[in-house]
Amino acid sequence: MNIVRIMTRAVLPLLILAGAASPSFASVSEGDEPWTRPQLGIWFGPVTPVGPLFNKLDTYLGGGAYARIPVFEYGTISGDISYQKHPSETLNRLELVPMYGSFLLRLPFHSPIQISGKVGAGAAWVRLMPENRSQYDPMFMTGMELSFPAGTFVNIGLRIDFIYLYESWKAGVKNDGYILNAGLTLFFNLDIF
Amino acid sequence: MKNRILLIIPALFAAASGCTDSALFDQLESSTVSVVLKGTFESNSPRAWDMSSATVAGLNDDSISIVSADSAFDSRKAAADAVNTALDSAFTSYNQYPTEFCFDVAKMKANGENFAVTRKVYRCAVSDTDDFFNGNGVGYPCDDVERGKRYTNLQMYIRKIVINGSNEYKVTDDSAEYVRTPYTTFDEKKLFGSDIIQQCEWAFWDILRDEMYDINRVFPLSMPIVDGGTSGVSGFKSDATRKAVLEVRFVVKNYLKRYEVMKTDDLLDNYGSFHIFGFSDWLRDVRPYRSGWLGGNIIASARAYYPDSVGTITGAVAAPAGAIVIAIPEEQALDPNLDEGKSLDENDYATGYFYQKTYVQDIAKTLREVTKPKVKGLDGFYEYANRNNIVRNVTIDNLTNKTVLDSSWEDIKDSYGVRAASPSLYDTESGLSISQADYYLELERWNEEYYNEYYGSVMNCDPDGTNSFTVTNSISGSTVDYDDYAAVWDRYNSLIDNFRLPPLATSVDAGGNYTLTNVPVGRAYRLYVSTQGTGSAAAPSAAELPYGWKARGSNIPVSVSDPGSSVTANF
Repeated sequence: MNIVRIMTRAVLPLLILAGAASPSFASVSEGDEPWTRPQLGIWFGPVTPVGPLFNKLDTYLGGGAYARIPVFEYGTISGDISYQKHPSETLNRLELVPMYGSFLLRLPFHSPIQISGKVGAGAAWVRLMPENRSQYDPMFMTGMELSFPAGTFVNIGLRIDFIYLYESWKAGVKNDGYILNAGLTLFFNLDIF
Repeated sequence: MKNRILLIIPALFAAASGCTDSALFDQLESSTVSVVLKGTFESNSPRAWDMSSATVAGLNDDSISIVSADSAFDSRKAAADAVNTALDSAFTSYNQYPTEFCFDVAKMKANGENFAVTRKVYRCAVSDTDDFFNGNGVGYPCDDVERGKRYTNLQMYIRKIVINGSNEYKVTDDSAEYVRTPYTTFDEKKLFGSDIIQQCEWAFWDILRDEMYDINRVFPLSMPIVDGGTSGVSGFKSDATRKAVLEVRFVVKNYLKRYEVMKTDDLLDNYGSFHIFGFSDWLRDVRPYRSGWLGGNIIASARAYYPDSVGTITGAVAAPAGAIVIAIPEEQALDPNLDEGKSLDENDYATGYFYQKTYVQDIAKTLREVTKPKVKGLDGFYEYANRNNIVRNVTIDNLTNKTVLDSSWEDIKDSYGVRAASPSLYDTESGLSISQADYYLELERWNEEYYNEYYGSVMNCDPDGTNSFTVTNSISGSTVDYDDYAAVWDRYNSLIDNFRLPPLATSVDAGGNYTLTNVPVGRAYRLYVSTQGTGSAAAPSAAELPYGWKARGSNIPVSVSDPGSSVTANF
């Protein structure tokens, strides 16, 4: 059991190292330049429950941080962590800390504006009030990002993610969580390789 | 296949994080607490509505004094045709009970926390089959309360209460003309009836207090949770693993009376009198001429129980049908050593729960003597008009073109020796209007002399010349002296504030048997039967709550031991 625990926790760092060890590309155009480097970013924006949760909880603000490493010309691997909470008019409140790894695929246009789609999985720490229960739930996500460079160092983007909190694998559980995150993001190209 | 692949990832996480076995989103969707509203004194098997015309005729409150009960009712069809309005066809005689009780709840709070924010409207038929009145109750949607927290109070925010069967009259010199059946808007529909929620905001005594505008008795309507369903815990402690029911009862069934409320249409002589149904003033007296303040008479209590752990208590009692049997948790019982027929004195009411009213009635009687208005009847109407600075009634004689005063005004002034008539906007000789400035000066002088004189006389009243107020206990004969009127009224109010509905109550059937249902398991209760102060078991009268509780012969506490089981406790 201990081995399994260590292995699962080591997945993400191993992937990052693997990406770092891959050869960098020599022939890239100007718009692609940022994407050949590791990036560190933050995002901030409205987060809202969707689906059956929509009637129970309110939209609020959330934010997070992420780190990205390119693996080939159009692909990037990312690790994300964020915090969001959803209050409501009654005593219900949901707090969420999603932590996930994802894979981004950029659309192959050579222009300053880059559109990427992503898909990922991970775990989320979920806390529900007034029941005052908290636990880790597995989660899957999918999303889209629109970004462009605002200098040699800084890039600005818009991102929208759909997070699916998976609980119905447990016996007798009917409901899952669906959250939509949208936000502005700022990320920085790291000149470390 | 897809499910199995998806299972790998959660399986890893299950192993990795050791997550607890709970479904958070399922818990978000559902609630372990549910709220049930009942409009009866009894928590199950209520008495039937007593709607005989003799009973209804007796429901006219003493506040009906301007337009006498029943007056001009038969001419209502002609009156309605004249103003071209519809009549409520359900009412063919004056002494008829309302047919509908409608109320609109905005939200509910527990200990001031928002746990139920849905607005819900209820239209309940005044009948023995409607869920609100037959002991089943109607549901009110709510969310969860905080787990593990102890809740002691519920607040219910009532937006509207509409009861039909009201009549509107126009008051002329010495008679009343039927105008129309009042109607109002409820649930975005037009409905015959009167909305009494504004009248329920204050009790008569509240308007004499400095903090009058901080008092609102109906938004929210506060009620204690008198029985949390668990021994040793006062109030309700939410346990998220068990479903709990919060049963809210406020007394409507067999508790309505008819009152009179005065309104004015405009500055000139259109005075309206409404005869409306409202909650009985058994607890807080409704006085005439004061805009009909009905407040403080929505008597409400809440209790909590867990439906998976309840039983019944049943038994025989030598009581007439309609007598009431109640169960009070042992630690709150009236007097553990209560012998049969023993009367309770004031000290018994001061501590803990308070289910009697006899002593309070003695205080109320004294208060009524003290604040009897100097004028009454039709004169009181003029007093009311003057108090509200309404221009007095003048008419222009068509022949002479001179103003003609109501002769009654002069009579009042002379016979009572008080300046009953407020200043007029018209000069009495020429009929021409005087300047506004002169009018307001006269008005201020009149306020200073008359209104302050009345108020002063109320506060300093000394009916027997002893500089104190004596209240006599009608049962024991003992007397208590109070220094002044305010002290009497404060004492009355604090005793009344302690009044609680018992958590469990039921009516005795024709065979002399009673059954209490949904009794929490493992909690000891003491049982009492109503006597109305006669010493032997008796049923309460119309528009009164039962009182004069007599303990069960042995007075040993009763408790239900197993869920679903029944315990027999004979009186």
